[in-house]
Amino acid sequence: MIRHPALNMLRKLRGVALLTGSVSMLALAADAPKSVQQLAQDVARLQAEVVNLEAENDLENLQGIFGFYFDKNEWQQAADLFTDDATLEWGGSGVYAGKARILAYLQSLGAEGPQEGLLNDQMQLQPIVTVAPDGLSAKARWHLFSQEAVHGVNHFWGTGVYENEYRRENGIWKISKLQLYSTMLTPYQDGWGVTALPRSKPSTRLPPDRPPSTDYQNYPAVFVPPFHYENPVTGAQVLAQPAADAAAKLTSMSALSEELASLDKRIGLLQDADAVERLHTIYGYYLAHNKWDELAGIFTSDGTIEIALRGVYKGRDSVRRNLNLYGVQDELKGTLHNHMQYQPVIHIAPDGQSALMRSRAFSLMGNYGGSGRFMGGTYENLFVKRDGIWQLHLDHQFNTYFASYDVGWKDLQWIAAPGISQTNPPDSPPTVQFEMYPRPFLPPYHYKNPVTGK
Amino acid sequence: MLTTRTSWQHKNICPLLALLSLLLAGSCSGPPVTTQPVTGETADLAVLQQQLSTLQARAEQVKDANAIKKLQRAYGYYVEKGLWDEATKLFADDATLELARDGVYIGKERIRQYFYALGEGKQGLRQGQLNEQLQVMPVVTLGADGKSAKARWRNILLLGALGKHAELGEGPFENEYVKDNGIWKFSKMKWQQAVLVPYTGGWAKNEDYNKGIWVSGKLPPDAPPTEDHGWWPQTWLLPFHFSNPVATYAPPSAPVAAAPASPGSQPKQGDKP
Repeated sequence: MIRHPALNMLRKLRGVALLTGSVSMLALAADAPKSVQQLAQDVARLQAEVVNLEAENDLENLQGIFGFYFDKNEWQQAADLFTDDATLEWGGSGVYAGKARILAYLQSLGAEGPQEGLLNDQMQLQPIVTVAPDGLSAKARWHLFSQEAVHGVNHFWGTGVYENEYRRENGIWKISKLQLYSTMLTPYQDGWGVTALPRSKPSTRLPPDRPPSTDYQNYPAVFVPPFHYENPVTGAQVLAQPAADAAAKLTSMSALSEELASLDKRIGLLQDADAVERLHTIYGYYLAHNKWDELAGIFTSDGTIEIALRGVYKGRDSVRRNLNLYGVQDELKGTLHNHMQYQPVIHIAPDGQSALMRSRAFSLMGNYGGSGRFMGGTYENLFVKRDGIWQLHLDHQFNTYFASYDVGWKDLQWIAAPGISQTNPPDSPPTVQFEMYPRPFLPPYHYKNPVTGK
Repeated sequence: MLTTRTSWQHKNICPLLALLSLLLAGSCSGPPVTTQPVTGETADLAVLQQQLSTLQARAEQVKDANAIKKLQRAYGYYVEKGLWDEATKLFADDATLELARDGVYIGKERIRQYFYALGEGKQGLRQGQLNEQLQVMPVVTLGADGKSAKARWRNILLLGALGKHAELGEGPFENEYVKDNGIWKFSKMKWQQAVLVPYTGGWAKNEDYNKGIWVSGKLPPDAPPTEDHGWWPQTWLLPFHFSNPVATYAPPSAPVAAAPASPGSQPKQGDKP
């Protein structure tokens, strides 16, 4: 990665002029007006920054999309996210080189598509994305947290760290290197205090193209996967760098004006994506603490909530009524109701007025002296902007499982999702009749494969 | 393509009005004025310059939020491996740290001591130790001054030592950040240990495994905990730093209650001790 300490210094100096508010505007007005050429330089730099900010969002989406495909054994879809010359290395698998070999490796993990009795939730968390100054490649560190089971056979917790690389080809981001450093794998019934499984070994059935690139062992050994980035406080900053001829394309007032209009729109969409992710995360915090009035308040007046096959509750009053199914407002004595929301894949409509999001739910629930349970699921939500404020319009969760803490996933008996309440019924029946583990089900996607469009 | 976010990009906007707004620190949000004479390239350039400045400030906010997320995530990746020196570098010189019920440690040097106490005096994890701490669910709120921020996060913990013990837990952070010379740092870290229980039996069968006390027994804090509500199964809400981004729900207005309260309707205040 190329680093630019000099540019960083320039950025700090320039930061003086970036302050918002009256003081900076007065200061700016007092400055001598810049020439078209000077302005073009600044616009080109902002353009490059916006390109890289968009790339960060695109890459968080890309890795999230990979994770959702992996969950459901959608190997062809997952392999299509890679460059032709990409490499994949999963724990101790060794290196598979090239898209065809990556697909072969993934296919060796199981039959294509969602399978009866298979749980393979692979959460993609905690991204640190670093886009190269030229905006054409990137690296990212991610945390993997997995819940895996074969019904009646086994079940596991797993963790790991990815250090991945990405490349932009013809404007489309693809994975050019996927490397998972596995950290811990343990059978559910034992836990990591009792049993630690070693990292995987290269397959003899489908030998890799190269041996493992790094010699390390899983927990209980201690290994620190190398960081692609320097310490964010003391290290050099990686800054977007405009192409050499970028400013030269902005030589006229009208060209500058048009470019600023374009950047205005693009920055607006970046802010929209931040607002939507933030709103959905707040949804999770309100849900976790039975803050029903706050939670119902983030819905549109005609918004809907549809969870666990309980049916559709339409309108904010019905949404509020629905929330009574999950407990008493604000009351959580000795109760854990942690509903986590993450791995969002967000697509903002070009007009910036609506957004679709797929994300993952993982819940820790139960009460002291009673019972504990886990819940896994997938959201496909619709957000809309009304009066300039993002609101939740359609909240739809496809639950993957509700598992008793004492049982886990191996011997979890199939049950239907909770379904329709007789005492607090919905306004209409569920829009989709989904199945929960151990039965197979693929929650519908709001998006196509970002590489193939399929 | 034009957007509705700002009217600055309209070529026929009045440059004089724009310059005036510059001086008044306002935004040109009124209806476009089309009858003013064009006052030359200098004024037009000033308009573009102001438009650029506004866009730079907006992009800076996006970058700030990203930088704060990166900082917190980097903290997680360092701490989970016991890289205390790197973790300490993420804090401002006068930052405070308050984890679980250990109390408040003030200043970077004390924070470093705290981390080393967690690691029993040693950098890096001990052989056989697991210290997974996943940083998820950011809600970042930037300060109006452009130099401060707050964020709520959730930490998921898988801790233990093979053959000895294992704990599963979670809890929220409410942290504060400061932008120092263009670089975001932690100015205040506060974490609530909502639940951290032995893996066997989990939260239904176990109380918190260390009652939220980590190292304060051997390394007393500089100040006591800012609040103390006990440990699991005691539950409490670490207050949200953010206000509802949309609105708090209000039920449809009930029919006007004309009748005075009957003697039988007791106020609720005596219900709970």
